Amino acid sequence: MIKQSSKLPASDIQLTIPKLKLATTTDAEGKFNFSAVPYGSYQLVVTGYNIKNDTSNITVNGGVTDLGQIAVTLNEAGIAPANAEIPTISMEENNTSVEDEGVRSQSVSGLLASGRDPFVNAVSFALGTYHFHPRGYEDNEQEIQVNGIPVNDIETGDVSWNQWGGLNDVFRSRVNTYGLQASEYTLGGLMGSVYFDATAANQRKQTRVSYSLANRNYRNRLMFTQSSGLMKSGWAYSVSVSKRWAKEGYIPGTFYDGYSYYGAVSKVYKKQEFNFTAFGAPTRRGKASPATQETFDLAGSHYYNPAWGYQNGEKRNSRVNDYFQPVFILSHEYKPSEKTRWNTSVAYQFGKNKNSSIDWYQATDPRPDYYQKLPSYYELGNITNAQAAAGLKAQFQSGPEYSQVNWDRLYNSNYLNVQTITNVNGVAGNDVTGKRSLYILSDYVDDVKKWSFNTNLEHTLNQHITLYGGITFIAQNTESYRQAADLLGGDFYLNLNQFTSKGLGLGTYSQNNLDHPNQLIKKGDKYNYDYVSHYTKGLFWAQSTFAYNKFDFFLAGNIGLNSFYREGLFRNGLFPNSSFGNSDKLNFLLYTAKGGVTYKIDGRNYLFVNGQVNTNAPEVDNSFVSINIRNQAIDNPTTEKVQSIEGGYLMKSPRLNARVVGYATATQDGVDRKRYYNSSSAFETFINVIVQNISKQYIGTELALDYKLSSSIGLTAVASIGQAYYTSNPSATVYADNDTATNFGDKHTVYLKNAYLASGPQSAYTLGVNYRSKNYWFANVNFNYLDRSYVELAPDRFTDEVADLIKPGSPLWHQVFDQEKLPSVFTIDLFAGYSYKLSHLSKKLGNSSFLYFSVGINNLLNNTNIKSFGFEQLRYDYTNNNPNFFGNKYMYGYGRNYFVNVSLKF
Amino acid sequence: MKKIQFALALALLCAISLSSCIKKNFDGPPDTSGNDPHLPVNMTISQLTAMAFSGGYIKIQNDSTIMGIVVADDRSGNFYKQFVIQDSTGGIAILINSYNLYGDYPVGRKVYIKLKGLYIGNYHGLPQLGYALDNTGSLVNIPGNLAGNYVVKANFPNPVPVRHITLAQALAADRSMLNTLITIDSVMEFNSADAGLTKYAQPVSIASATDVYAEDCNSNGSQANMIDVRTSGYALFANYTVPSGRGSLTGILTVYNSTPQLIIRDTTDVQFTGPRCGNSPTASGISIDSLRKMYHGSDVSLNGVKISGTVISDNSSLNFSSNSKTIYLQDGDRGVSIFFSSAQSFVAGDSISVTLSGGTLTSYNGVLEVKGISAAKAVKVGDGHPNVRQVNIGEINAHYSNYESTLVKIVNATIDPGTFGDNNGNKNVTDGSGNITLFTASAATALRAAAVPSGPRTITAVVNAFGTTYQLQIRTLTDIQ
Repeated sequence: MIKQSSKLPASDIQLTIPKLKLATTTDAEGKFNFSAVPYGSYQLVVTGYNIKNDTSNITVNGGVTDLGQIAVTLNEAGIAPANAEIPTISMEENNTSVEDEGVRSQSVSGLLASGRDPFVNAVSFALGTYHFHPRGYEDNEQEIQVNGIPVNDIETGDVSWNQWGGLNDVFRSRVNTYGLQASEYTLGGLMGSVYFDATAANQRKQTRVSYSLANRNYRNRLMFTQSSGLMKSGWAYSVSVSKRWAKEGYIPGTFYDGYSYYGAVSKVYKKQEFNFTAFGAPTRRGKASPATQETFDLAGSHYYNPAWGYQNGEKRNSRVNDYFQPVFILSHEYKPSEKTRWNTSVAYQFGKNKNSSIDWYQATDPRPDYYQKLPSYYELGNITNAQAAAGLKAQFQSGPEYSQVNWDRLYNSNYLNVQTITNVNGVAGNDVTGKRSLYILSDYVDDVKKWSFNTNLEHTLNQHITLYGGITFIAQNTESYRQAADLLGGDFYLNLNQFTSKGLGLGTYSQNNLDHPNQLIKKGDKYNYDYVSHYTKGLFWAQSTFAYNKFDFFLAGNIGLNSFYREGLFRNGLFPNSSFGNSDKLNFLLYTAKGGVTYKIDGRNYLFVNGQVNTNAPEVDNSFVSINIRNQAIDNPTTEKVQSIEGGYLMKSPRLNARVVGYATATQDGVDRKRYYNSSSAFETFINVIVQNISKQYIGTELALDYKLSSSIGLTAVASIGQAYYTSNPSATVYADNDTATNFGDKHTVYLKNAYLASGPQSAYTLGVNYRSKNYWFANVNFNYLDRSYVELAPDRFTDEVADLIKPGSPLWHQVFDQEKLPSVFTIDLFAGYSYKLSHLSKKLGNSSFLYFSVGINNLLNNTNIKSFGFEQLRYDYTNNNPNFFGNKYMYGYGRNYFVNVSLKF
Repeated sequence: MKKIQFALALALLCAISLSSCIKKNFDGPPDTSGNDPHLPVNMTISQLTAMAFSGGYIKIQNDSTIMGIVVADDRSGNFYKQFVIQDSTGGIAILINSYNLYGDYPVGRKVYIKLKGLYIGNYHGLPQLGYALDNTGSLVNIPGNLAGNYVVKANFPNPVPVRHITLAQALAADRSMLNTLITIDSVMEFNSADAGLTKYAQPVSIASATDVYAEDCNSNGSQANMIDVRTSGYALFANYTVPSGRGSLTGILTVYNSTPQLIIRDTTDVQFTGPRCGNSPTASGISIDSLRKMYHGSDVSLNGVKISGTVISDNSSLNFSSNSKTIYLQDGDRGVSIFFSSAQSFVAGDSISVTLSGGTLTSYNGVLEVKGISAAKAVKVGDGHPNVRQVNIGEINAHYSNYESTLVKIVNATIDPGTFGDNNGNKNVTDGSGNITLFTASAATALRAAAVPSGPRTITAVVNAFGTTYQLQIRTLTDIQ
């Protein structure tokens, strides 16, 4: 099937043979297939989002009947939830502070499907806002490509949807695969793949202006898109700009200031298509920090955000993310015939991702929720004093001077601290007197330069067999460092390590950069650490799909090499011989083998099973014992092994779509690194806990029913019930940042077996009622119930050392070792939309001018008790074994929140 | 149609650029360090500390306010979770349960303390101000975040009040002196067991704090006459070695039961740069050339002068001194003879250092000499190689003063035949450029009896004189080759 206007493939169109109650959907190439069709003549009905319904007659009289090309015309009036403004997009930005909390990105899965798979739809829309991760997988299990370029982060595999934030208009066209299904573009991860076609040629001809009002991360959005569509001359261009902003978002102290740019040009010349696409989304936003239940209670709000404070009467957020990593893609497609397609893409991406936080040197902790400022310090610690606890409670509640960051005090402490620093820059006698900042605002910076190359060949051998193959090569350099962003009233800061142990004293050991000792750090100077991680990845993949009457099957595999090393740019005083220069290169040979079979019981009912075995390289950050300051790799870095299988039953009929799927995945030999400040007298410094031999299992079932009550009313019921948990007791090794020993530390066991992964709600249910009116409006109501979300465990707590003096089975034992389950969540979401043909107003506006309006209200009942995620603090009270001393931290999900969008399309 | 599109586009771009801009840069808040809230002060610190000895800790019930200047903060880590303030009547330590208090209350800041609700008492005799009592009756520090309710910041900086007292007064540790900043001037040093050897504090794993004793010149080694300079193992300067000199000592005077203690703020409180008790000002080293230039015709009294050089005389043949009291010392191209008041045992080649305090620079028989130095004032510091200059006799005669008391080498020299003892030990030596006497002392009997080697020889010898007669003196027969 092709689109009438552009002659480009029309994907995701549903075709029905009502007489036989058969239905199918076109794939990314616009191809479709009906099986087990008895000879005869039938009506073929074509329906789909945004296309005019059509009926034609077909006759089946041969083994295989080729219906040729069918053109569909777009129905401008059709407005689909998939193409309207989806609330889930705004949630992907990382609201948590990554560095010292040890919390990884908790962004939502990017399964924004335009498919009719009810499960996938539900997972994207309804459940996506609640940190639901399908099957419990982490975010790096979905491979995403834009114009043929893989955009997953090469080191972690995560995808940052920030890269095209605000460019919804031009990133509309996507093809999904879910789970272990075969994709036409790549092998995919455990969670499938998404392929975005954001080339100019693929954009609809339109001029579109949108304005949105919301109360989430941002409150306003203005978008403008102009696309020419593919013109007769073979050229196409497309431009899109947008701005998203909020002085203060839903959570106090969070602001948003984002721009987005997109420009693309395409030329179709005979059988070839050339595309150049460039886009970027420079964004600055203030983040919210997770906090303990005690502080939420003290503040009287689940949206207490300790990251901000007043400065000169205005709210200033200390945790600001500043991101700009534009992408430039050159892509080429060559289709010598209908049977063969050859795509090649080259891309370059560069830019910085900065996250700020307050840093301090030999000063009082500036955080308003520092544990010693809270009443619990005098209730649970060594010194208990009810009067002090009550006093601190009253003080915290007395106002933002104490409950939020007190910027005035930080600046004034800096103004007072006039000090003379001797031997500045290592020059004897070079003494400088000035205000030494006790506090500064510091950025953690990742400066990326990424070259990507990808080429894919698809060839249809015959009506049954299609072959795919491709080569990918990516080279990325990331320079990571800390930078002084604002001296907060001082003249300079010191580039010294204040955590060198008392035994080592403060001599050269405390220099972070031996080549510039006693350097005075000014605004913009790098300090603390500076290194480059060099990563190269090459892989070759191949796949062949087989389609027969009763069976479809596919086989796929890839083999590749990931290689990386660290290049230190600071000679660290604690590790002068192993911090500067190149580390050893770590190489990992990786492979994937994948295959699946679908058995077509009849045209409606399918049974399928897919399986995969593969290996993953460990992440760069986890492959070095303390990547910031030393070149030493962990002991025995190894690939993670994965085995996965899924299978189930699908029913596709005009009235009822059903899906019953079971899956099981096992992983072994995973590695993780947790870094935190350990205050016990043995350390009093930052330590790195390397956890190795991590084995996990993900097992569960996915059920979905999509029933069309009538032509306008539909019911959807979806359930996802799974278990994602550890199946081994990994071993952990501790490396203290101020321990100059180079031997591998002692390994100790971490008792994590059978503990749950913190992968969001492991039981999720949603019931939806959809109404689509012939008068071009629709409404959806979803009732969601999410449960079995667990808190992320701190591995260092589950050790023999901690368990030593606690009686097994005692209340204290349970308090320390039980994994907290977050409370279950019930919410109601509403989503409605309307499209209005502007020609009703004035003929001059033409037949393709529309006004689109949509509104989404999430959490209609304003449930403000949604703990969207939680984690155990890495720091632990070894003295009293009281886990509440450094209590679990949480982030609460928004209460009632909305997104209203108005678009004008010409 | 296109016009509408473009118009819209333009309108939008304008709207986007003008729409709400989000603040990026923040100006710093005003500097409040000059502010003084001028709270009414209705109590002196001495009135407050008077309450500290009424038995146990007393809760202050009235709206009393004291005022003081911070005289000690926790910047160096020697003071822990406290700072000390002082007014004209006395001092008091404020206990606050927070680290790095110096960021808010540095030395020199004026503060007011609103006392109502706080507890005053003494810890083994030292007054302390705190927040509450725990269940054992000990004083609980003011919780960090509550400090602002009691401690009101005033202006900074202010002159830091310090009292100059004597060691005796410090040891008496009168209550009015406790928790005040004192300086004991110019007479203090660390006792000889520790000076220059011990560190201020042992590592924390061994002891939380370390005592090092400071004395004055009258302490006579008795600890009762010394003050305990006590330093915490957590101090940033704990690992530094205590200085070995003498000078002024500053710190906060405290007491533990009946033991007075001095807690220094940092190492600048210890200004021990002068010479220790009983030592004259440290002798400074000069070259022998400079020493020789000190003589202007009459005796010069030497004090605080130290020389060093290589011994070039060898008394194995007794040619230089019958009683081994005289040596010749060469330093570079100059030399001097030293007449010790007692015998010494240096041999040629010894590199020595001599303190000339109490000696006299004089001319003895035409040769510059230092006399009146006890042998103990000379110390061997190693082995040396004096610079043996090769010259001819004519040069020595022409510029004698350049060669006096130094080693020379003369080639192709011929000594009058016979024995060394001929003519009372005076033998003529010639090398074609001139003549000079080779003198052998009467005490060197074996040498005098020896026969003079014949023919031209190379002679290594010390140059000196007898009156106006220039002469050479050899050390042993091996000096003639």
